[in-house]
Amino acid sequence: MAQIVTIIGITHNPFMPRLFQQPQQPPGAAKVKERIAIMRQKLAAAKPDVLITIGNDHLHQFFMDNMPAFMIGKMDQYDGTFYDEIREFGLPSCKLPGDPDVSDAIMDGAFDRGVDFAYSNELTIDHSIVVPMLFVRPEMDIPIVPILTNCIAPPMPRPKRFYEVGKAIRAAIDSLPTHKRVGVLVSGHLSLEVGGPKQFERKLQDPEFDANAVGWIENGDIQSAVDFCTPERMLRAGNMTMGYLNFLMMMGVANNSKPSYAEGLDAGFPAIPFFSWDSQH
Amino acid sequence: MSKYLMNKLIHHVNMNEAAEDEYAGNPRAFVDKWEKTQKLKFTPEEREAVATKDYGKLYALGAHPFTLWSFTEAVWSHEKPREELVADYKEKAAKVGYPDFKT
Repeated sequence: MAQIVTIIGITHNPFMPRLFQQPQQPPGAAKVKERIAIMRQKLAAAKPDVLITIGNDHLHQFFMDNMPAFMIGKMDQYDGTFYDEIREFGLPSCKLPGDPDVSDAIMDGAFDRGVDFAYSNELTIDHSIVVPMLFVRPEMDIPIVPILTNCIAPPMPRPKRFYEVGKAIRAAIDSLPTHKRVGVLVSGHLSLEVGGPKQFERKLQDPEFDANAVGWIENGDIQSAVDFCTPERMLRAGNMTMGYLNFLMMMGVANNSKPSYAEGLDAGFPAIPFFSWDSQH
Repeated sequence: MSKYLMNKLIHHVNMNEAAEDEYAGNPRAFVDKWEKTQKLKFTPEEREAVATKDYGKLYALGAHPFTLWSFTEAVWSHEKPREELVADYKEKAAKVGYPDFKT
């Protein structure tokens, strides 16, 4: 039986890898790098054989001509990222090894539990997985199973569904016919605006939302999270705040247990999330 | 309303270097040619907005904000300093608030 050896939740802010290379960095950058280093060490200490990487596509592989709610990649190797992300964010092109057997087993296990993933045999991943990997495993040497969500192009699945899908992923992992050590790496954000009137503000977009959002995870309070996260309230927190929903999926993967680490870091940017579960039983 | 088609053009231009170059060089000619290859059609207002790189109008018409910003930076960066572009984009967006971008 497979064992979950770590769950990590982290930012996928695509501007940060380039920012961290610059000679002049804003004062908050050091605190962000320190947290990233903590998460990188946690992942290394857990020694996973395979990483389930959960993030949301940003209208790259997904588009409104054929929009899945939840998709799993089934490939030996994945390309990251797309032309526009290399241009806009200066992200590197990269190759990440896959584990299609684990992809298949999770998909089958999810089907058995009432979750019908879309799948892809030709998936390119964008910053929602590339950036977390650059942060916590820049060697990109652990095979991944990418799971992508639609939390950017409405209509979208409900917050409760993100949690339920996370629970199904967890149950599928627990039943994997393998002794592999499984790590789960989830990316998302707290309150955030992109392409709207409040974009690029170097401060928390909605401190009330952020404090609540970290608190629900800290306390395993999924009910308050789904009650609070109406489309209207999330929009008020920032027009891309729906990216928080990936973390409700993470709560499902953690079986709603309390995390070892939970923080919405205020470092002079929109809040930067860091979560971890260092062991799972 | 063909928000979908606006997004499709924005997405295509944003993600393909050759299309980005061609569009930035002559947006109206690019739009005329591209629309002929599509089953769906723009409304006159949408067509004018994409033919003039009018990001304020595209935002107001409900183009997806995430892709719209990326596209705007790509096709305006040679003409307007980034800081000025960011400020003008935000000002124009603020005038209309949060148009529904559901397709």
